Amino acid sequence: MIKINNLHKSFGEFKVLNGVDLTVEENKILTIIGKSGTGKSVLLKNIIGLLEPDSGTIEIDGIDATGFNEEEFNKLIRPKMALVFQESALWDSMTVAANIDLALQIQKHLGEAERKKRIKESLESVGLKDIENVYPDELSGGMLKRAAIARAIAMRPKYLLYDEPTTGLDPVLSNVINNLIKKINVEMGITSLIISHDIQGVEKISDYTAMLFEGKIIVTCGAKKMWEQKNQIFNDFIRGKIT
Amino acid sequence: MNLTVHIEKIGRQTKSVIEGYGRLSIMLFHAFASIRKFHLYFGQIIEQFIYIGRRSLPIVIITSIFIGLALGVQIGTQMSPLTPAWLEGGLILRSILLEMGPIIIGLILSGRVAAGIAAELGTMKVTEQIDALRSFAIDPVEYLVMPRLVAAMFAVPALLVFADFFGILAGFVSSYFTINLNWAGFVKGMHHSFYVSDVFASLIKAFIFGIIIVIFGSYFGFNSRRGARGVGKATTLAVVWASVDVLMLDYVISAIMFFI
Ligand SMILES: Nc1ncnc2c1ncn2[C@@H]1O[C@H](COP(=O)(O)OP(=O)(O)O)[C@@H](O)[C@H]1O
Ligand SMILES: [Mg+2]
Repeated sequence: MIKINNLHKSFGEFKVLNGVDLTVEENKILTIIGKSGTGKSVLLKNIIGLLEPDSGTIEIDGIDATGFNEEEFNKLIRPKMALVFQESALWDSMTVAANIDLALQIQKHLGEAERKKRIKESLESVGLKDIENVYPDELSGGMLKRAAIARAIAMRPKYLLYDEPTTGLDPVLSNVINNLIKKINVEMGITSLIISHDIQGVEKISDYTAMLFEGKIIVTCGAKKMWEQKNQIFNDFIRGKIT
Repeated sequence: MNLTVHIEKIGRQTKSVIEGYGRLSIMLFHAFASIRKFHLYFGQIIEQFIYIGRRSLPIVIITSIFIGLALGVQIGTQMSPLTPAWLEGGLILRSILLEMGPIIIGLILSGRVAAGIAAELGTMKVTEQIDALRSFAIDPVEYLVMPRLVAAMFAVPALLVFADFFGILAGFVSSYFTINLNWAGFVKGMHHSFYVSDVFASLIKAFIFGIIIVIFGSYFGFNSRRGARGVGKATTLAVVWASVDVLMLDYVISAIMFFI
């Protein structure tokens, strides 16, 4: 379980997170929605330790990661967590297979046979085949996203954080990615925290939804109960009246 | 603007330069500390050695030939008719070994290697590839900087050997045409003023310049701001500061060698 308590984060004078409270339940999919530039990516980066909060706490499986240094994150938090970046962030100097291989080798110290097996399995489960030796810049947008997901699931993380996995994809591809996220959650039991603008996708695959607005979580609800909420901002947002 | 405003500005800039050197030193220390894990990155080290060494070899040879040629003419025309011509062999040997060779290498590689590293790592930074490394618990300094550092510590002295060799050879050719110095005379001159310690000094300079070039390229790359302009700026800063520090340390090392 990930428990975030009263999290604050500013850049200079500019307040981005202003007291975020959020709980991510095990084996569930929680989707965070919110306008562009409200700090959704900043929130994910705080959880995995790429940014340091100013105050508040982040607890992961009962471990308080607040104030952890890089080494402590590497040892205690990141082995059970992976982030799928919005722009995929595949390492472009190496092939797709080498992208998946790198972390397996350096972080998990796995032998070659096991690494090969995991590369093959993870590419198969995202529906990519025969692209082991292809470089990231030769992949289309949807394939890039899936390769990034493959790189993440090869680590067998307990938690997967997805930063706008469907943004910029056409509806058909968005659907493919949404189904994939659901499949990963159900079949591998990976707890997922997603950032998304794709309201239909949210409703279809998530267990819960939370909305980030002006630095705070203003609504948290079951995904099926989205349309029954009283909060005006939330209602306007999911109906596309504010973007 | 009045004077205090200027003084304040100079003070601020000085402070940020000193802070920059501080952060760069921390990165350098970190990179050195991770050399103990070099066996994990053997492939990267070899790849970087080839990248730094082989790709810079032609330009290093060409520039050292021209420097040698120019040096031969300069020294030749400055020698008085009373000094024996064969002395030029020694003068060329020492100028190239102690100063020209290392400085050519240092400046050429600041332009080529430091810039290349800053552009590559800067692009990785702005496309979040460095954050991606961290998210997978891979230490970016260990993975990206250390292999380049180790490679440069070998590749740059190796390049220097080529620079020295071709520079001296060109110096001979040029002395032959300027003051008609023959090979035997040139060798006699070299023999006369050859010290093994000069070779060491030369290699130590190259070794240290290799470190400077990699660390400045990496530092500015890692601190690159977003967008193509950010990467461009990082590249320029890497070249400028690496060059300045090469020249500064060239003097410091020369001075230390002189006193010991
Ligand atoms: N490293 C950073 N330094 C300074 N400002 C940042 C940084 N990262 C994000 N921001 C700012 O924080 C705000 C929230 O960004 P982000 O979390 O990316 O928004 P989004 O909700 O669209 O993901 C933006 O205004 C952005 O400019
Ligand atoms: Mg974002």
